[in-house]
Amino acid sequence: MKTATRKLSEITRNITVVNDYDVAADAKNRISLRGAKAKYFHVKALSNGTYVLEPRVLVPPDAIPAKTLKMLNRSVANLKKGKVSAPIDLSLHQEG
Amino acid sequence: MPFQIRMGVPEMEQLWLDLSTRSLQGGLDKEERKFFKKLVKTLGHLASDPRHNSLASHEIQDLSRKHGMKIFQSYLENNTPGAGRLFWAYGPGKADITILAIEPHPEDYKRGAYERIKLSKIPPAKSGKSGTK
Repeated sequence: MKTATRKLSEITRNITVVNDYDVAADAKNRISLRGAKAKYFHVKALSNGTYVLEPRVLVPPDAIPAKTLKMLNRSVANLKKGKVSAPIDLSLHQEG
Repeated sequence: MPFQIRMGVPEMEQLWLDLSTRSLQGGLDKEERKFFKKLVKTLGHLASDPRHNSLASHEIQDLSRKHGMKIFQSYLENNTPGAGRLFWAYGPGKADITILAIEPHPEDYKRGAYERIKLSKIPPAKSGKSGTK
């Protein structure tokens, strides 16, 4: 599923109130966001009955997962200190 | 071989040693055998020619900028959407390549993509007007 999302910088720049309206929830407790610019939102339901919606953006498909990135950061730190493993022996596993 | 391959973190070295030992003893299951075969082939290419066509090696400039050194990405498979990949850099010695991270199965939209939706960094609204319904 490819999703067109707005750039983060586009969303975060210059926050002003552009629309102010009252809505009624339908029979299934749904409301419509008029002119919503984002497809995904993070919803926070507060104890006073307020709902806060924050737009979210999808990570690009080729982005590096957090776990891999963490390992990469540690590896780079080790490499800069020269603390890497001994050379691995590939010859035992290579054919020919 | 012009380059020697080293691992950047002990866990990766352990993984290699474990797979290597069990491979020699014939103790790998089907999936592990498949992955190990791809890994050996990729590391072999990397050691002989880091710019080998099948690796599709390319620099990840965002990471290079962040770490102040050139960081490359190569693929474990060809013509495969969602192919495994590994990240590497030259060093610490002149004839060394260090494997920084291995990602056997990149997450795609079918595997946890929704968990990876990132929160936009919008400062909390002061008046409570914007962003409420």
